[in-house]
Amino acid sequence: MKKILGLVISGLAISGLLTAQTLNVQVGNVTYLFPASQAGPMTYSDGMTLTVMGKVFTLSEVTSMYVDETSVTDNLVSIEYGSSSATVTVAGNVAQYVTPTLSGAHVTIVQSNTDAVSGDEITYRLSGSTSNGSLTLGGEYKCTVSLAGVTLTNPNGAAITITNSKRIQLSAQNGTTNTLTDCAGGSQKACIYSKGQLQLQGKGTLNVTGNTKHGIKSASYISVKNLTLNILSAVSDGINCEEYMEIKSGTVTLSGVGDDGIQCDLGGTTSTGITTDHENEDTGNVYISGGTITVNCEYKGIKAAGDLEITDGAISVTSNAAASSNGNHWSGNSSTSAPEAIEAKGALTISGGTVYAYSADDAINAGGHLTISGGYVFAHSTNNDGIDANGNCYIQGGLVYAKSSSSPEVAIDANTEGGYKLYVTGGTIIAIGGLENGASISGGTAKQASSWTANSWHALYDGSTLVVAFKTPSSSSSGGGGAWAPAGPGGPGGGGGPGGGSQKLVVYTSSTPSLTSGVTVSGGTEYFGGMANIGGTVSGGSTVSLSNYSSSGW
Amino acid sequence: MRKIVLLLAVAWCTWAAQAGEFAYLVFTNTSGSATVLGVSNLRMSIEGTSLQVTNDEGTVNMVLTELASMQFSNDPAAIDNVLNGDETVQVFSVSGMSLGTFGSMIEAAQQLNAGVYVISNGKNTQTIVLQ
Repeated sequence: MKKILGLVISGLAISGLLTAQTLNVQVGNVTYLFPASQAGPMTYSDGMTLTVMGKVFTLSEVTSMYVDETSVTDNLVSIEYGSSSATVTVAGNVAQYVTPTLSGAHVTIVQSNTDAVSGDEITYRLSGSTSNGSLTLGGEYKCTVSLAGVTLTNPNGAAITITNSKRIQLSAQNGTTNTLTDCAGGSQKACIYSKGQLQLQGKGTLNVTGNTKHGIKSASYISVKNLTLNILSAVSDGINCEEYMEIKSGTVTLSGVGDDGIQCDLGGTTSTGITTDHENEDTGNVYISGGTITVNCEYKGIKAAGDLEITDGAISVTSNAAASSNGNHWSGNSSTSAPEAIEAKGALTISGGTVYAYSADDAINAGGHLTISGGYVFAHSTNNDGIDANGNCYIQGGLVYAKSSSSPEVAIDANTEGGYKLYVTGGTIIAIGGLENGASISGGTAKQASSWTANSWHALYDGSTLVVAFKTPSSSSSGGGGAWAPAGPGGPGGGGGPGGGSQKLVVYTSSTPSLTSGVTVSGGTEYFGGMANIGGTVSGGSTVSLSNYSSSGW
Repeated sequence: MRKIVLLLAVAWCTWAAQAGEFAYLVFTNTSGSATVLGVSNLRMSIEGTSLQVTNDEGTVNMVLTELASMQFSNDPAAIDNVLNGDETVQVFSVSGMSLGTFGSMIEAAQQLNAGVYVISNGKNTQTIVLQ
């Protein structure tokens, strides 16, 4: 009896040591983790195979099996990259749906489930670092790729290729920096390519370099939320997608981009029109409702094949391609991709946020109607219109500061030749280059300065209320540019010569505008790269003579 | 003493059930017999046509073609049959050497020295630790 007691006590002692039991089944560099509590009966068949939780192992391929206390997170597949190899661990509950294949640090995973597993999707967690590795992911059900501090360079192709056509969440974990680089001269479409919808998110940082073509490409929609996304360089577009693009929040910075910054095309041949919650939407639309977006590209900064809708966010777009001497072609570009900072082939609406657009061609262009009803909009074109609508142009609210090249280009244009018109019904406007002839002005008053001083801080009043202080460009355009050197709001005004010949300075406010030039500005908040100031205090200066607008034009 | 043993056994089973953890991995072969091994430091590898299992108590080799299944368990029927039954049991060392036949598990436990043994009642097999 004493020994039996000892046996039981021994059992208790063993039990007391156990915390989380896991059966590890190791096949090469892939380890499957089966929680003992989930494993159930594990069946052998003919000495050839072992089946655990639906996963069939060929016994001759099993390196080892062992029981330890590794904790297991359901639905998680972890991929740890090393310099020349990778290790993969697969949670037991999804093991039967996941087939990894490894070649050095190049990991290919095929996911076979067509529905949720344990009520959720599979998450692939990437970490580690390699200069010769990649991830290729195939499947037929949505999943998450979680970036947990991974540095991945593929000298032979894309860093991440997702052939799964379902919704993919690509999430950078909070506090992590992740850097993905593809090869130069390859055949891949992007450093990160997804056949399916790509939701870029997470509170970490994702750095992307596209050495062959795009930085990020999805054959479906792309959305951005929270993420700090840096496209460090791209031979072609920084971000290229189809169906629609949505930026809700986060910080998106695109630099060193050889073609367009963000380009969204129609996926099919016909637009579905906007759908509820964008379900199955294919419009080529771009929606920006938040975030800080900075684009430094060669041609179009943000290009929507459909509509472009900006409701909030801080957007700054600089297109670097300069105009050639004939004005119709752009340096370094034989295609039709003119350097318009922001372009929508359909309608373009801005109702909030801050927009800075600088380019040689139209700074902001809409193929259809263009509406500004709120926000702060700065549009500077060195060789065309500041703001241009191929349909009607509606200025209903917000602060608009636009500059064009010299006549016949105008600061704010509508397609008068096509029977359309510029309608101004609200907001505040500063237009260097004037407004389109025949504009309809209501809800306030538009006035024109007979002359203006370059590179000088001006104060625009509505009645007796200071609306905005703004700095004029360093010179008036004569068809060849006109640099606006950003300056701090506290700097001294004046210092430039008078505005040249044909360029007009038009201002519009909701009541009666008046203008003072050569003011000194202090305090307040800077806008448009230091070209405007709101909420500040102005002093000094001299009154600018303004004349009234005539409906027959300026 | 019996009451104390019973109390401890009940406590152990209750704790194990609550924790969701297991003390044993039970292998069943195609003939229906079982081999019960403690999971502490348990490792398995494929050695030719055999499954070699090593744990704190030793190493056991099982022919793969004779294996039907394995399952984690705390209180498998196999354990009850061997330890608590009144059946005659054969006792082996972990190296497989026969140490004798006993009228019951209790009789074996009373006569054996402390150590690790493999116990079989003809249908089921279990590795035990006597202290």
